Amino acid sequence: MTERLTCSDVEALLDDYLDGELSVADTESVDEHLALCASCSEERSFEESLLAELKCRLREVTPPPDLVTKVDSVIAASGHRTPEDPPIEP
Amino acid sequence: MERLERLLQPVLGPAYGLCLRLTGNRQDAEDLVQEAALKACRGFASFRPGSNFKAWFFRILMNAFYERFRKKRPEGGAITLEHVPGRYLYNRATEMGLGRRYRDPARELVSRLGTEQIENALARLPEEYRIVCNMYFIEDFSYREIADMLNIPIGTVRSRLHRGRKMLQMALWDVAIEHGIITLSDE
Repeated sequence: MTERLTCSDVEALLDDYLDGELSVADTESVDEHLALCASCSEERSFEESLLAELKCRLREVTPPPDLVTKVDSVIAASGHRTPEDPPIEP
Repeated sequence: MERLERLLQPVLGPAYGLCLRLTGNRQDAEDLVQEAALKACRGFASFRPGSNFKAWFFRILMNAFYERFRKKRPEGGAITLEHVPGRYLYNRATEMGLGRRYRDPARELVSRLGTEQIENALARLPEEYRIVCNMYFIEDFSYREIADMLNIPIGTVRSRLHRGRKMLQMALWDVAIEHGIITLSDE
C-alpha cells in the first residue's frame, strides 16, 4: 500500500497533475488526496480554471486570411515543392 | 493538393499565433511562419511519415525564431527569479474573499483582464520562461514535445514551465493592480 500524500506533496505535484504529466499511480494518489481534502480540492479547481481561462484567451488569434495562400506561393516560388501523393488505390 | 501543403494547412494558424505572442508583431509573425514553411519544404525529406508533423514543424519554427529574434529582444525581466511563491493568485484571491463571492474566482479574475493585459504579463517573464509558457498556452503540447522542439531536457521544460507559471501569476496580479482592475476596495 502506498503512503498517503500530504498537502505539501500535492502542491508540489499539482502542475504536473493538471498537465497530465504524472504516472497513473501518482495521479491516483493525488486524486485520493483531493477527494478527502477540501482545501487542496479548492486550490486545484482554481488552478485548473485559471489555466483553462488563460489558454482560451491566449488562443484568440486570427491569422491573416491569406496566410495559407502566401505560404503556398512562397513554397511554389522556391522550386522546392514536395512530390504529389500517389493516387489512393481503390 | 501536395503532401507538405496538406500537412501544413492546419498548423499554420497555431504557428502564427505562437509567433505573434513571441514577437508581438503581426508582420514578423507572418514572416516567421513563411520562413519556417520554406525551411520545412526544403527539409521535408527528414520528416518521418506518420510521426508528429506539428512538433516537427514547430521545431523548425522555433529555430527560425531563435535565429532572427533571440538576440534582438531586450531581456524583459521585471520579475526576478529569487522569490517566486506558489499559488500566488489563489492566495490573493482567497485573501480578497473572491472564493466566497464568485463560484469561479479564477474565471472572474481573468475576465477582468483584457487579452492585451494578459500578454503584457507574459511579456514580463524572462525569455526562456516566456518561450516555454507561450508554447504551453498556445498549444496542448506535452512536456516531451516542448523539450524536443526547443532541444532542451524535459526536466528543464518542467522547471521553466512550473516557475514561469508562478511568475505569470505574480505578473497578472501586478498588471491587474496597475490597471486598477483589482483595487484595495476589493480586499
